[in-house]
Amino acid sequence: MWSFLHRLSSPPTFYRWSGVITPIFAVIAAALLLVGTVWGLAFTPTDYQQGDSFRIIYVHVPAAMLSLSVYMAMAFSAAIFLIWRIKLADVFAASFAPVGAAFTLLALVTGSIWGRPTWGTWWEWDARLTSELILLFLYLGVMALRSSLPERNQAARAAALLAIVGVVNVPIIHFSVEWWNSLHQGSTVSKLGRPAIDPSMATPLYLMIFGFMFFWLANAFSRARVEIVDREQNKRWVREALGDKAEMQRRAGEK
Amino acid sequence: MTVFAAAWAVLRRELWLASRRPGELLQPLMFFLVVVTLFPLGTRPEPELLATMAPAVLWVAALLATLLGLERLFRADHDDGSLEQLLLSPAPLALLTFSKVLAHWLLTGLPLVMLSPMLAIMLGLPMSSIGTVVLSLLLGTPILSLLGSIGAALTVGIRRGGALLALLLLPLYVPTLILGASAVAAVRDGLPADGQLYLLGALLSGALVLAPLASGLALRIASE
Amino acid sequence: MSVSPSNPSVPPLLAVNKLACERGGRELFHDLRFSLPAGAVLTVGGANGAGKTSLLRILAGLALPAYGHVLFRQQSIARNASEYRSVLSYLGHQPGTRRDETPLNHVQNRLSLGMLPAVISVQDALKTVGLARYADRPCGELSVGQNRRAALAWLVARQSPLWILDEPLSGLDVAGQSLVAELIAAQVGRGGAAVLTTHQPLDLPAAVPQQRLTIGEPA
Repeated sequence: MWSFLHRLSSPPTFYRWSGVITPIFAVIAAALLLVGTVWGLAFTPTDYQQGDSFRIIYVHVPAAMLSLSVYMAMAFSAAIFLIWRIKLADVFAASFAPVGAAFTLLALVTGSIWGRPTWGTWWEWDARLTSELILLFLYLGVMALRSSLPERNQAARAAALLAIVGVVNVPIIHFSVEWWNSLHQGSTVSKLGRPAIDPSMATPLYLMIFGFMFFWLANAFSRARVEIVDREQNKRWVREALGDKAEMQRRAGEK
Repeated sequence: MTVFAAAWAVLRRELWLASRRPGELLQPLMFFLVVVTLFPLGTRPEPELLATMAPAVLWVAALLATLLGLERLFRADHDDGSLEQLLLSPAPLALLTFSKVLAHWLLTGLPLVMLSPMLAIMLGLPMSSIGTVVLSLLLGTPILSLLGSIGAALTVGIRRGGALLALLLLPLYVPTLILGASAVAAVRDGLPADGQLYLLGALLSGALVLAPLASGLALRIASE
Repeated sequence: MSVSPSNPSVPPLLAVNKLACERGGRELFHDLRFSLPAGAVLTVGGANGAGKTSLLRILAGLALPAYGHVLFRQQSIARNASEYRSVLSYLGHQPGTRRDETPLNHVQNRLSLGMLPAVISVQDALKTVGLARYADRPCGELSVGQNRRAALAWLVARQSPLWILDEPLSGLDVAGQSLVAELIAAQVGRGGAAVLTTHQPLDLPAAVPQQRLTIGEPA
């Protein structure tokens, strides 16, 4: 089994099978997101309390959930890279970061948009939004560190260590922000807390969550493919895979 | 020649070198004082208003002063080649790193703790809260130094890495800031702050064990 | 890469096989091998930027190779890092002295870090390298060459089995350079070994077994 995984993680093999899988992920993502969005925006009943503005949860909640999951996935890949020195794990960690940061930013923006009609302000320091903001800093830190170190392998290991340190801190940060919020808000109901969801509203939400997940995978894999080609650009398999005409003619001539 | 002799040698060297340049020791302290002074200047210096802001002002100023001092934790060693000697010592790197952080805290954090009563009074905090102010900073500043050493180690080779260092460390500092500031705010309002202090203690214990390991690894990575 | 043949029956103190190094995205060397027995010196040559310092840092365990292992007494240095570090003395480009320290402090501190007891007293070591008169002066007041001698004093005091020296002659005057040659000859005479890079020729006595490795030349 290990040798199978080992072969899977060799760059040319990964490039081949990810070339098949990535478009599939992209199509699934597009389908789920399309159905989920249309259903959520047009076909679910209006919330009696919040009116139509609640519909933003169809973007906000998946984005927020995935922003955290992607960070965990990034830290997990980083750990595999640091411990077992598998380069593909680092490629994944590097590819997950921008998507995760984008999701975090999306969660913040949609959270702010949701807040405006609900509480009248563009920003509230509630527990969820504050945690998301700190998560954004964690993502930006990892990305900034990776890009500040000129040596690629060194940058990879530094970013990996930072991601792991970050993930260890995430529960502590989350707990302390929740606690801080409970001190100052009085009421324990988070303003952006998930309302009790009626089944008629829940299904499009799940569709969106999975749609975001497949979007993440499609995006991450296509970034990973680019990253792999960049790292291995001097190797022959890259020239072959990218269809270098001169190379292919040369090989044809060899045969 | 034991492992502890090596750690002690590192600590002694740091303290001795710092004593040769006493002016540098004052910098974080002066920064602490200046930042705290700026806040009343930026608003109405009424005692109640100041007392409301005081926990946050004290803690954020202490945090920034620590960040200022972190730059110097490993930079000089990196620049003159002493860092390599640290990495090549048979002693466990985590222990040597801990010595460096301890020296850093004795030279930066501890003076902040000692200056804090005066600043607390300047910010209108009641005398009864001074004890908690000092205790919270006494527990919190080592946490800031320990966590900060990880960031300092990761950015040691990066030119002008100060802003990056702040970006890396701020998320890690949030729990300590929240706990410390709320401890001071609690006693200011006459409430007990035991929970916050215990939690700070727990964070400190965790950081004492884990941070030197992480910053040791970070130093090796940064020196590759 | 050309390596002078070594005696195969003597077990190697330090050996590498198929070592490769990457820096700045390009490969500096690959398939490098050598085998250094105790009581011998390996001189690493090559043009500027060829990878000599990188090689020495890999040998010291400061940097990771792109491929291959470094073996000390036939054990990977990664496996028993602590033991390797107690037998290795590494001198990098910079002497490692701080402006406010004295040579005496510097050698004492470094000895404590290295966790080996001093074989000869620090004062005697400083005398050997010609710094007896300057032992208590701050290193910031001493010249580059004198700072390097302070670092050499540590080597003399510690006398570990393996020396890895990056450009030990740089900054030294003629007397200093022959001092280095003497120290290395003494090291080899004790049964130790030394790996060094140098641009200038090192005047070692003919009796000292020498190997030469040049990075960047086609094999």
